[in-house]
Amino acid sequence: MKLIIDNLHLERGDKFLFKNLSFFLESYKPIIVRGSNGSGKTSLLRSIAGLLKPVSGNISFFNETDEKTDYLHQCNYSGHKLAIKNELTVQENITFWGRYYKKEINKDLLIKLKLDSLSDISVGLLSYGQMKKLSLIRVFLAERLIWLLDEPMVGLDSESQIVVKKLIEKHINLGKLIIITTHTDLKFGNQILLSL
Amino acid sequence: MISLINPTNFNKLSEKIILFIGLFSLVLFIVGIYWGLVIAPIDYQQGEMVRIMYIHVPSAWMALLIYSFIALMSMTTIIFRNPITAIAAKSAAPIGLIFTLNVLLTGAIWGRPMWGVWWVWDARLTSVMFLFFIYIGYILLLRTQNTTMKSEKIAAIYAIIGFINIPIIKFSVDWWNTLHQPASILKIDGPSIHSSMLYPLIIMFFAFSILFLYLLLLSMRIELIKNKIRAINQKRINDIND
Amino acid sequence: MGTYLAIIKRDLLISYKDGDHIAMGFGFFLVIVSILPIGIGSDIDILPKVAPGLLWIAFLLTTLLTISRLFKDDYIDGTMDFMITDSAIFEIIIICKVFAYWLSVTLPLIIVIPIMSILLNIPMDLILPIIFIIFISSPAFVFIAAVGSALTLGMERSGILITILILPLYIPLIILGISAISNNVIGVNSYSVSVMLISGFSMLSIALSPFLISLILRSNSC
Repeated sequence: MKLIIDNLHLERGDKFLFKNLSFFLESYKPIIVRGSNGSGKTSLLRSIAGLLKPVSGNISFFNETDEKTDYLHQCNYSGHKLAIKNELTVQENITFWGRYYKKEINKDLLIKLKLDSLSDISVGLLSYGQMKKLSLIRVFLAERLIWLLDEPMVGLDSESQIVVKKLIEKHINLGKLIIITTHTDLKFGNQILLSL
Repeated sequence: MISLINPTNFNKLSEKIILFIGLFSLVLFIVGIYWGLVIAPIDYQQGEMVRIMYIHVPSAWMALLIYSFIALMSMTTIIFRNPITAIAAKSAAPIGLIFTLNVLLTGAIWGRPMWGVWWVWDARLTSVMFLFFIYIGYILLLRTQNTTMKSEKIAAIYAIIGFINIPIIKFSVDWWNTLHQPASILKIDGPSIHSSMLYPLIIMFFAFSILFLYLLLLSMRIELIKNKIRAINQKRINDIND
Repeated sequence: MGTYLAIIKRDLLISYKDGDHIAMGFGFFLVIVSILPIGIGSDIDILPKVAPGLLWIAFLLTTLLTISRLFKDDYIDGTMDFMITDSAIFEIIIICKVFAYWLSVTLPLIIVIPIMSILLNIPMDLILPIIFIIFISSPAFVFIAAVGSALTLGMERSGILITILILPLYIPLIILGISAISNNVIGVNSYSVSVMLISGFSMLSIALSPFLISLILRSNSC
């Protein structure tokens, strides 16, 4: 299983971000992306998720049997936009994803992330860290093959960071793919560091 | 044609021909206006009023022609992602809007003595009026600040929708009128035109077309300069960031 | 199927919780319909003649002014990001969203039309045809308006711009609808022709506009 990024050239609006970026993503080898503000970390993830069209370059995916296949629907991008509905309660948001992805919700996860006691509260009243945790639950719930996490640890308290890190490690150990952008000193075994 | 697609070549070429085009249009206007307003015969029914036709009819042709041009350029923009065609569509819109306004105003002035009213809700008039609104919508889409995508692209999509819509408006108003108003109330189509009137009309049409070309090149050049300024400013911002 | 039902349920739930927004559209419709007779003069002869047209225009304006948020909320909070590239078919998601909008905004308006018709002195035997015509043309209204909503996605305060952009597209429908109602009055045979044309128009909008909207929304990310 391999995701190959070949000679990527990205611009956002009229702003040049980078070009000639090539690397590949494999099982058991998470990629950590670092870089200053505006260096294009988010845009890189968005272009891999199919949400930003590159100026030039290719992104291709080869499955277990080394066939080139479509991969966009196997991606799950989670970024600064949290994709949660402020009008709804925590539980209602989770129920929607459960129905949308046709997956059962793991109650343990809610307890570990300390969201279980807040389930009947409107999301708009939560703190940023709690919202961020809720938005990550969507990624954990969907169990897609490729995770594209943009600053997953922002706003999380240290306990939750440990929980999230464990879940990410579990994903890696299953042989699935992941790219993470971060400002903190997040470390995983076998990680590959990419500096923009 | 291919060399035109590059902005630099476009600049060079347009610089050479623009003055010539402007002068050519001026000459055509002098000939056409003199012929139409002085030499051409008066109509036995309409009298001197017929002379407004030499402005009104070519304007109407131009209004439609320019919108078709915008739709064609928009199509090309979407398919080939060419920057020049997007600029051409964008620059043509205000010119087309003015021509359309011209049609509506001269039409009303002509209509008052002819039909006794300034305006009738006839298929042709209604569709020109809504062409005017579609021009306005298109220009507003281009001008409104958009945070998500290049406004050229959405405006291009809208231009094509509008292009399909114009004949639909025409047909449906026609259908509406046949249901509600017997054809005897108004007959807007004049009798077939005599050649002594047709020639100056054609000259005026060419004068308007060349004028459009002149104005188009002029505003495209302005647009290119604006883009250049924007790019320079963006670069200055980037340089400070790095 | 579950995925699409989930979207309809969620949108309805949000409409219910965020009821003020729905109530605003509803109130707008009532106020516009009530103010028009005052503007025209409550002449007992004139009012029934122009009333169907008034209802029609008020209905259109309410649709156009309330639809601007249809895709905007999902776009701003990032929900659209995972829907665009997901395995669920985006065009069907769009249909679901528009359908949920229709259920929560348009249907209440249609239900209140009999009351407004009585206020406007519309003859009793005309009320049912009016409701029927508005009902069968409402899918076309909503789906075409949704295109305007997608076109103005990245703009603030887009309600008025949507109105300018989309009203010209409504002309055939307005003409067909009004002529269907007035043909019903004078008993011309072409009533059924109008009804068929309107239904065709609605079907066409349901079939085509999701693709157009998806094209617009997909090209949004830049």
